[in-house]
Amino acid sequence: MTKNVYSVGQVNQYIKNMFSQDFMLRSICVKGEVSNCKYHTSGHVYFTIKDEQGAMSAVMFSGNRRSGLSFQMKEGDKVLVTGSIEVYEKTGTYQMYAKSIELDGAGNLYLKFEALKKELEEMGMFDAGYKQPIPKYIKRLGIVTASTGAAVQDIRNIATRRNPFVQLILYPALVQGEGAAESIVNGIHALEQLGVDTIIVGRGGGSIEDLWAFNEEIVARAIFECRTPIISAVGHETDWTIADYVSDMRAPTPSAAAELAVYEYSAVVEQLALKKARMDRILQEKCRLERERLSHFQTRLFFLSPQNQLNEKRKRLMDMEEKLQDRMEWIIKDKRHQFLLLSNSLEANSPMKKLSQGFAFLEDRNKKTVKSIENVHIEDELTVHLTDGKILAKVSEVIKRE
Amino acid sequence: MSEEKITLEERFLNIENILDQMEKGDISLDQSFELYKKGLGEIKAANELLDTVEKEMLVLTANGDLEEF
Repeated sequence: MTKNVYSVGQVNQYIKNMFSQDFMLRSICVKGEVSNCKYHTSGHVYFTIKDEQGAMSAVMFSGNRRSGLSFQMKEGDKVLVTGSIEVYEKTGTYQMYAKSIELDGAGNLYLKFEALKKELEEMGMFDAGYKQPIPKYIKRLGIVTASTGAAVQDIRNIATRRNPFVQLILYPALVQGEGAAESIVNGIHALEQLGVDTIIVGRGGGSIEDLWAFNEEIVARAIFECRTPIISAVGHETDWTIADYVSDMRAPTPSAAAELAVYEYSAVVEQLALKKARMDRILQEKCRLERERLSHFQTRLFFLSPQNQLNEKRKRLMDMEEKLQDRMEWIIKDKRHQFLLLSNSLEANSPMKKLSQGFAFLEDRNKKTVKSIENVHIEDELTVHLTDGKILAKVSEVIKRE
Repeated sequence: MSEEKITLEERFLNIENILDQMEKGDISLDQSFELYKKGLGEIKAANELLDTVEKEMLVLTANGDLEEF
């Protein structure tokens, strides 16, 4: 018996033919989850499609991407891949050649989301101009969320920690599944009617299906039309829903929403105390300034007071008195000096000086100077003054000059 | 505007305004005192607005009643 021996290439070729003749494998739609997704620089997209039972390599050539792939495919995406399954002879493996890739289930939701987002955005429902400011100091906070979720507990914890005096009113809503959107809309209407200051609409994290109610148009419209400011808080930081775009403010999480909605009581009290202290300080400063001004005026007034004027005049008077005295003293000194000069010159001309040259002067008994022979009689006693003494003389004869 | 309708936010604004006016140098001491008195009134009113009764969370029922959570 002769054994037929085939080359690897022949076998692969054979299998490839079998595949290509198979009607089903030529055009097939496979459902699975994406893994090992790689966007090659050539433009081709290589990925593995898998489910619980198995995995299959797949490729989408760059030429098919334009018509067949409308989203950025990533790890974990649930997809429907349409294309052919062919054998790659070089490695003896088969793989899927994708002509189009769509998101499955949730994936379709994603497209719906994009479409609605685009529509509402074009209608202007996301415009900043429609956003109502979130009041800073509120008394009543409405909450539309599930009564059993983590979200309501988070909001309650944060809100009561910040300010236990704000009234929280919960509208227990269905946040996922059948009737969730209607339930959320009812909650918004009920709380608006009741009259709260701010409403938080939200829920904790979940898959896109879980969050879907917040992407429904009726919810978006209810939020848009609500006159009470609404903070949306859906899922985690990375989850964006239509509700987040249309709400007056988007909080990344329910806890964050509570922080945005409820003011911190202690901080406000502190603020008030600070403001009071500032006011006190200003007034004190004002008083100090006024006191200073007053003391300035007092000083000026003192200068102008009659008492001060009197003192001033008295002082001037004293000054003048002193000057006067000085002047007087000077004058006396000057006169004394003059006198000394005069008396010196007088002495130089004194008659006594003449006496020393042989002259004398006569006095009668009455100490009168005798200047002529008139009234001089014989036997009169005269005193003859000389420089070194006097002579008492008796007149013996009086001879008149011819 | 009636007294009760003034919100905390407006009170804060009023206080800020009063502070601004008080900080201007060219007002009289009398005016300062007037403003100070007004400011104290605003602060008192603001404190009163900070209602301090601790509140339980309420649940709004389908027929519009409020019940404790």
